[in-house]
Amino acid sequence: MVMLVSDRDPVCPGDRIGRDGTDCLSGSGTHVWQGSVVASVVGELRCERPAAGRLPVASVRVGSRSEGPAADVVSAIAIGDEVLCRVRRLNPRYATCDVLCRGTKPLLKNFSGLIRVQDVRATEIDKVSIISSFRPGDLVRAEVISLGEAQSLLLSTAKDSLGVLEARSEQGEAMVAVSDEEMACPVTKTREGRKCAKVQ
Amino acid sequence: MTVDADGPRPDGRMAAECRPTFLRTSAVTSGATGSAYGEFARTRVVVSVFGPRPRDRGAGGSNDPHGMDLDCHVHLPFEAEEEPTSTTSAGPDRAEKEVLLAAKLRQSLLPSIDQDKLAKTCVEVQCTILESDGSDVGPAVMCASFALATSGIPLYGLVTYCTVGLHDGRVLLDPTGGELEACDAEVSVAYLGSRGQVSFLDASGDWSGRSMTECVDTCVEGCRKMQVLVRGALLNSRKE
Repeated sequence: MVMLVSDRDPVCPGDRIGRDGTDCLSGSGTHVWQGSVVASVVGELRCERPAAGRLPVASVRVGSRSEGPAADVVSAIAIGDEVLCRVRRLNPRYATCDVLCRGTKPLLKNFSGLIRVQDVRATEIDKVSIISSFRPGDLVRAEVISLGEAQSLLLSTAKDSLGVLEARSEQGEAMVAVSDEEMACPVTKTREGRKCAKVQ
Repeated sequence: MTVDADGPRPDGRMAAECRPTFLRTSAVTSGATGSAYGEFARTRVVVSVFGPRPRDRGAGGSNDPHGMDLDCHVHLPFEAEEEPTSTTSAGPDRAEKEVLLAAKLRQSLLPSIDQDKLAKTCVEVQCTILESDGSDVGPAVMCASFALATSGIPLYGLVTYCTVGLHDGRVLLDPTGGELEACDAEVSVAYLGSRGQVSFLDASGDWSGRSMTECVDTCVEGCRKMQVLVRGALLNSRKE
């Protein structure tokens, strides 16, 4: 298989790298056009083979130095991304939140997200009560399930690893998760209902 | 090839030569995702790119809620204007020209951006023209494409722009301001070199004497030459 550009060579947007499926696969920083893998950003070409005998994945690494952390390719929030958000308002049918971070990277400007009552957990979704799952001010890890209509993203906390990470009790103390359904205040020992994230 | 080589033009170029260019990144360092400063002979342009950021609610009533917005703004140099005559309208004023240039800039640049990767976001391009000599759209488009590339926004390729003017039956590539005013007709093309696609075409004047198709081909040839220059400047900027 022959690639038009060698590993570690600089590429510009629009440069052809190789044939899709025969020479290489499209990785981050590239796109496919008319059967060829083409670079989308300015950077260094990196070819990595995930396993012996498989095609290399061509990706373009954006960054000024060849070693060290690479600046991420600029991209928007996509379906399936894990985001960190803070609950802003509650409604019997959904909770409105401000999406603060994508993965661990803070966003330049906050998006708006919506967690519907049927997306809070995976089991017994008709018996979920929003008030015993979230409260305003909670920090929640959620997954994007849809880009939603005009303003907000649709989020879900239906997995074990998703849910409230940090919350304050009504007295203002930081609470600790005691089960999947409850958090307790270490000072007053009162318990409040939350959909907690299971931290590995 | 229809360009006539009947001797040098006022600035010493032959009919088929483009003006010298100079492109540099990181012109604007505060808050902009990417920026570029370009000099195309005497036309000087600074472009800064902001974003991608979340789209403003209900801005412009766009029909596609998941699409990407490209917001272009152009600022022309402020010139001391003479008193406009009251009998005839003085033509489009500066604000209208800026809006028109921004629309042309947007149309030329939008096909080069990978919009699928930027759903529900808004990218803002602010272009300031410091000094103008000849076509403003061309330097703005090329400098903006350069700035978008340096800011890491996923692109399908670089956009280059070329203008051809028709003067006394002579075809002139990349005319200066003075040459442009003397031309009978002109055509400009914004070209996406990596895909071989034209993203913008602007023609005006009296085309009875010449074939517009041939002149558009000449424009595309000029765009290809500019593509080599811009690409070289982009690779050089990485080393800084």
